[in-house]
Amino acid sequence: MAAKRSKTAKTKKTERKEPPGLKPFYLLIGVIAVIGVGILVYQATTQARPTVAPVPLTLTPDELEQVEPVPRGDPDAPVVIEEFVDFQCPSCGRFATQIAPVIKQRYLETGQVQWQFYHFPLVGVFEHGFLAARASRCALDQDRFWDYHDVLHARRPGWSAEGDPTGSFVQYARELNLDRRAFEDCLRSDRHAEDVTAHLQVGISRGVQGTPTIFVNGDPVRELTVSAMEAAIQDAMQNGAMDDPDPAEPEA
Amino acid sequence: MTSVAPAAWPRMGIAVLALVGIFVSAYLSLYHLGGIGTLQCGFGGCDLVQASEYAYFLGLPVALWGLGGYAAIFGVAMAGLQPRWAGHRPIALALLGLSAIAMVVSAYLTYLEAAVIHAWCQWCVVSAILVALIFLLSLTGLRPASAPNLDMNST
Repeated sequence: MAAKRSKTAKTKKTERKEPPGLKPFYLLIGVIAVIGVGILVYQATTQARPTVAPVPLTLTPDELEQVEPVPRGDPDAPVVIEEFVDFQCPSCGRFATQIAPVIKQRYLETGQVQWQFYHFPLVGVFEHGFLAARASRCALDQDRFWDYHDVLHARRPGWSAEGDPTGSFVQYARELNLDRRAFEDCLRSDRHAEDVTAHLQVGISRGVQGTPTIFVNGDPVRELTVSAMEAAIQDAMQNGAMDDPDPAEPEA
Repeated sequence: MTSVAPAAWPRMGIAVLALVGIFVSAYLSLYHLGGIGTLQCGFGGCDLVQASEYAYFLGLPVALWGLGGYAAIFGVAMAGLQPRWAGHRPIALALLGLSAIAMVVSAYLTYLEAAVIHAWCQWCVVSAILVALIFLLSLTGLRPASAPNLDMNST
């Protein structure tokens, strides 16, 4: 009887024992799991993530003066229109798609106006504004800022609703036949974060509080309509060229 | 010498393929969730495919659904290798059902890449191949004679 119980116990022990033939298989599963986890960790730690917020940057008043906008049009034009924009701001989109094209056609293309674009991402209001600004700077690297600018404004409802619009921004670059790899490397990094932050600080120093904010020869335009813009441009033309804060050196 | 019965090999194969699938889909999921900045994409247009509207289903990345599917297949296949489940036909049916669903979804996504998005994501192609192989292996488990025999005393 005792011998029978011992035999039964031995049998149960044998049944619970892991089948030896599965050990190499479990080893293979373990090896694949370790390799897989290793690759994922490596990718997650080495592949850069995009900078989506302003970076610490301290600019002196002189350095603020030297921050360059993105220009368009004749640099010798008598009137300068400065525009402070967040690409995710709906009002900026309306201004860029409905009013700015009329002004640009009438005054920029005729050499009467130079357009100067400044980024002014409203951090805390629009979560993707900073990344969109950086994306446009990555397009600027390939001399396609204005084309990309137009696409960002035109397709704002789509990308602004996304949790992470990085893929859409890369897709727009593809559609514009930009160098996708160069653009993506730029976007998924911290490149141009300082440039955008510098623009933001220029705006703050100029008293910009919302977007879009437009200056015509240094004077803010209160009403963003075609007629108000044209009136401001006409005034600026009659009052002469914009005061140059940094007069050119006299010729020798 | 003890060995695994030949009939157990399909489930082992399914488990290995599903584990690879888990890591492929986890990689794409991490990309969508922001854990990975850039996809390694040797050819095609991974970014285009992953940025398309079809990359999401019910608000979640398709890759995340895939991760759940692969995990389920892996779990069932591993369970089916345990001696107590070795002869269970429901295991074979569950593997066939899961892999059939995965096959249909994968075929639809491959169609979208070819005919709608006009771009290929190499990781999606790898996943489609994995799913096809898993489906084929799960078919072999339906044959009555092929129920895994894990009696390790057999040679």
